[in-house]
Amino acid sequence: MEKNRDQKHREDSEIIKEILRGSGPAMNELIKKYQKRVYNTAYGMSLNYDTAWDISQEAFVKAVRALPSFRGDSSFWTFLCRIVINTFYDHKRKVKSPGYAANFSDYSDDEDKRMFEVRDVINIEEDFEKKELKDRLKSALSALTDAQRQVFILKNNEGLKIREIAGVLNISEGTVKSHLNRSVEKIKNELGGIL
Amino acid sequence: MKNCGVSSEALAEYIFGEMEPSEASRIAGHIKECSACREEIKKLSAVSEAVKSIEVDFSGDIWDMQRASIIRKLEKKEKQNVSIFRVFSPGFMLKTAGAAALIFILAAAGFKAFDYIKTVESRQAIAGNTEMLQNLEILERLDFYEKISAGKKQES
Ligand SMILES: [Zn+2]
Repeated sequence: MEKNRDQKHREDSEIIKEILRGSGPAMNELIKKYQKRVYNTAYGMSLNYDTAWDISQEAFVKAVRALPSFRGDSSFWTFLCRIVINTFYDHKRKVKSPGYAANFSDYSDDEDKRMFEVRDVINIEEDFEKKELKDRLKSALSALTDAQRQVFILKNNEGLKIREIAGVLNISEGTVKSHLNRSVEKIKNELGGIL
Repeated sequence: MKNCGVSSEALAEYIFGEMEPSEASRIAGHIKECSACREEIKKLSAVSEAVKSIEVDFSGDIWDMQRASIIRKLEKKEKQNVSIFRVFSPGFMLKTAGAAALIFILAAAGFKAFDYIKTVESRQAIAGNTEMLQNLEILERLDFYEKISAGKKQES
């Protein structure tokens, strides 16, 4: 897609300005730019492909609607991360709430309800060796607290600075560091033999 | 157990690029000398790489479909009048409503196709829809949306 190559280098602030002026294509461009990162961050938090799909959709809806209040004193990506984290907790609350599974009426009128298993459309070759590592990884990451996992994913997979993570999670840098060290230790021990 | 005085925390900071440059080059020098730290760094890198490997990707048509669905959800919220889009130009909602209607028709066809996602034919069908979605952007430049907006205005 030739057209998108030029757009890739556009500043977020420029795209956002256009969205706020009412440009549909700019909205499409912004979502496209962050779609994969948002999905994978949501996956890192939830460790569930379907949940990650729902969280990432919801996060984008919230983010676009919050754009008028985005002041640009942080990067758009960290702004988005904060929304993904909030949406993760919303989703968790919703799933925990009594009658969630039975309460189909909330969703039956939603024509955007996911009609497929996300796993079925992922591009991964699952050879046996990889599968074992993936399973071990998943259980290692599940063993972390939410906050530890969030810190580790934002640092390791998204490359945020400790200072930025502190802002996203609204905790001190010291706390971020201790979450990071704890999670490194835990994952290292959990994966022990197979690394 | 290491007893060289360099803590695991320091090595993690080093790996995650959180160290002052001067401190980082000191550690880099130390790693060359200290086999225990070299081992530890190897393990940390392995952990880091392993966790990075949980990332997944979809084919372009799946991402397109997710985007269409996000935009549809946004339009729905707008219609429910919990609007934050007052800041937008007056024509915005009408324009996007027109686009959403089109996207909805196309994506609905795509969603049905998910039942048969594993068959080649439906993949091609989705690819066709996706192409049409992309064409929407071009259509907008041709003021196609304006026409839809005008039509909607007359209806209401
Ligand atoms: Zn050492």
